[in-house]
Amino acid sequence: MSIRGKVAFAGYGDIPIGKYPDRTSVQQAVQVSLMALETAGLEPEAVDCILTTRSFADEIYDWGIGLFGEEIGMRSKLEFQMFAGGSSSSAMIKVATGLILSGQAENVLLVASNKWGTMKREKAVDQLAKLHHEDWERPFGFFQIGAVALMMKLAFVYGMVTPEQSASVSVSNRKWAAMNPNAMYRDPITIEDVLNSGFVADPIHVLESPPLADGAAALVMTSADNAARLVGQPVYLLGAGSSFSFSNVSQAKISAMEGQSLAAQDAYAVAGVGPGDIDVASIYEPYPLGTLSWLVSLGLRKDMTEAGQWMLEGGGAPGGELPVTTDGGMLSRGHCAISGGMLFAVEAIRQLRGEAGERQVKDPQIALATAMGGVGNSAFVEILGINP
Amino acid sequence: MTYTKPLPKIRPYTKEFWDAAGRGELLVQHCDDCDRNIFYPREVCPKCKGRNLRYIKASGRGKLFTFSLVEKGAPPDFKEDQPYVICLVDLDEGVRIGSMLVGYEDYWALKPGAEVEVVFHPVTAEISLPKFKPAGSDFTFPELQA
Ligand SMILES: [Zn+2]
Repeated sequence: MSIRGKVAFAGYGDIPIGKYPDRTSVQQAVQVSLMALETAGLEPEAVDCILTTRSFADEIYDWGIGLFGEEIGMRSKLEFQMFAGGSSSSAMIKVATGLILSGQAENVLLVASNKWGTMKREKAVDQLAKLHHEDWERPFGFFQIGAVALMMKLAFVYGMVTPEQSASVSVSNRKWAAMNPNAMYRDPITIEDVLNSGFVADPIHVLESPPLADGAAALVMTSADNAARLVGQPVYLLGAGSSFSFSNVSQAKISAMEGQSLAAQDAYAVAGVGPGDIDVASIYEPYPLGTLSWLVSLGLRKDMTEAGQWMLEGGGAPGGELPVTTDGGMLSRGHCAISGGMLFAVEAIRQLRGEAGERQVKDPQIALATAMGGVGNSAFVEILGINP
Repeated sequence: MTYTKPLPKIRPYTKEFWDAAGRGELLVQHCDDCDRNIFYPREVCPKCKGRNLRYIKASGRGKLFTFSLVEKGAPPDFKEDQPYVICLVDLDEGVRIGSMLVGYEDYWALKPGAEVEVVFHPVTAEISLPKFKPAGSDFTFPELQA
């Protein structure tokens, strides 16, 4: 059975991303949930399933059972947490799809809320280090960006990309963020700024790594028929694909990029569309080379070199050939952990509904959103459209 | 001074590895069911699911697969070590190991494929961490103070 066009996103919610010490993770989650229900035209009582994930911040958020039903004043049939790192939200979309299509849920609320912005940076970095094997990686100073850097280093060593091409991704994202009132950083930056910002871990410069932020996001998913009744223009899920490549970087049998390709092929096949049909690409990219490898693995560019040159020439920037990461992405909108992953789907939906304000792409029909977990351990692709 | 960084846990199936490391020997696992080498150590062969795993002595030599100079992003426990180099090494035994590279002269002259060899870093009475240095380097870590 194909899932193509059978479920839809009826609503979405988000809030300003950045450092907001006065907001708790629960408050953020309630705020975006209510916005998602409002944009879906649903009363809270109509929700019968809530999928949440970890906040890493507040104990009641991470340990409370049935907390969100209680917070938004409804009693669901089903509420539980899911975790697959930055791709948790994409995994939640897959589970929600299955629950809806099998008749086990009608209206599913997906919510993520995180507090990496006001948490002490050391604590956030320390949490991320837990992604690494406690016997074979952490004792050797491995951490999230470092492990990613180990893989990205090879693209530079073997001359696939230049530092300028890589830096241009941060510059392009910042141009989009300038038009996103919810983005954390909106002031223009130049390639020189990026290349002079120092290395977090070679080859990743400070301005090529994401600012850690507080943020939250929510989605409402329901059947295509329900969505059509609820909102004028539902955004249909046309296809979804995923791949898990490795857990520890030393054990990778296939690269993160090969994992992206598998997820992309999977999603395109289900959706029955190809790279040429994509009007907006909402690409999960904590680091510029992530954007470049996604552009290649999604079939949007031929190879890393061409992808880098295309970004350097503004191909993905405002006014370019294909709008890429139109909310500013992790690099400028801010990395709010799992909710930061969900925001790529939120942005694709917002663009397809024509509600993206100053950064609205003209009449998009089909958009894609991607997500990754850990250090490229998992890759997910969703293809969304306004026609089922 | 007490070592405060993350330490590997000694498990029933890794005690032999850490005991050998304390003697300056690098071990890798070998699966007698499918005749393959395995790293990191585990209880079931990830290839053939066999359980007849034993440790063999590795040469301690290999080639750099990749590496990264950590300047600003280290986790809290490793802040004081910055800048340091993390690496993946392809051992001559055909397995890949994550570690730290030490004893190099010019980071920017390093290339993937460079020959490296293990050098043990004794950090506690039980744990000596296998780190790597360019082949032929005379770099050594100080012995533990009793
Ligand atoms: Zn075996």
